[in-house]
Amino acid sequence: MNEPCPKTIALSARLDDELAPHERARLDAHVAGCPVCAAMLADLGRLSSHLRNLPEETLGYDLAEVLRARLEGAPAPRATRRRVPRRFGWLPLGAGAAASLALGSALGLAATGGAGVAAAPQVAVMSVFAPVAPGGLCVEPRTCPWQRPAFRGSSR
Amino acid sequence: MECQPQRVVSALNEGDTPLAARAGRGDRQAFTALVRRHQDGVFRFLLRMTGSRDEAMDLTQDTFMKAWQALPQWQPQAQFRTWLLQIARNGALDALRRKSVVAFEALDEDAVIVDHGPTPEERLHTRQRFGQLEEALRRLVPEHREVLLLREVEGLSYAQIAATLRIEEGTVKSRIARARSALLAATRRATGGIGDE
Repeated sequence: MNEPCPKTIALSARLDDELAPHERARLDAHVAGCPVCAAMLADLGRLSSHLRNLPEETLGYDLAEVLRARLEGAPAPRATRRRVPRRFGWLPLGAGAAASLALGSALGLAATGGAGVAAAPQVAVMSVFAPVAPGGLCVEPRTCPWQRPAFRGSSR
Repeated sequence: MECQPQRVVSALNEGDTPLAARAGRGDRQAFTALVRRHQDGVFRFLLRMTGSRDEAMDLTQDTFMKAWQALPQWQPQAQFRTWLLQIARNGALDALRRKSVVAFEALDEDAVIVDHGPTPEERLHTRQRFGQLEEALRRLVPEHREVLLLREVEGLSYAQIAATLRIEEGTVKSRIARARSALLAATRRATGGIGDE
């Protein structure tokens, strides 16, 4: 969209009485000698008047009564308390994560006997992130829902 | 709820700020007075933002429910009315987004609604003119529509509009001018002019 001519912005602000006195005086002097700006100002004024005279729409019922019933059952609003930053608030989280890692490592070592871990192929390690758990091989890959995500649930 | 006529009368004469402060402390009667005072203004704004009476009714109710919940966070520095219109505006934009109509083009050549000449009946003429204007307004982009409604229909100052829309006053000034230009162009295309009073 093109930027409007600065004159239109000034004329529009003039209409709203939102110009500084010196800007207003300068613009008025310009408009007095410029039929184009005078016509534009008149058009903007008519448009504004039409908008202000649009029919007064009303809700048509007492909303307060409707809301009163809803508010009767609702608890009074309470100011939300600001959460005070806790020093070391992250500590339990970090401790939990460390414990999980330690447990995971221990289980991994127990399952592989320790020495085999380094020799295991990279693919096997990454398969932890595959939708089919390691060892859960698909008998028929074409019918396996994990192999065909687009058809999942459409066979019924 | 107990009938407290004196308190109701005082609420009617009370300004928005003390009422909002009381409502923020859980005073339902103060909130009721605020609802009665502002329900039509909020509804009118929402009706013209969404173009749907039913939706505007629902959104008006939602606006006040949200206001009730958020009142404890309301600060007296913010005018209650602009704060309320801000909630209403957010609701309207969400509704428009849900309908995927966030971006409208300005009224195009084919969008002429009714090309009418002067009619003998002034009421009919006025109704048609208002109809065209409302239609042209509906086809503006929401950013233009809301700024025009807040200025022309709700009578907010540039500072109040800036507070409502959380934009700079300079942006309000240029956006209003742009919106007026777009609406003027649309009504000119529709009628060949914007008509005299």
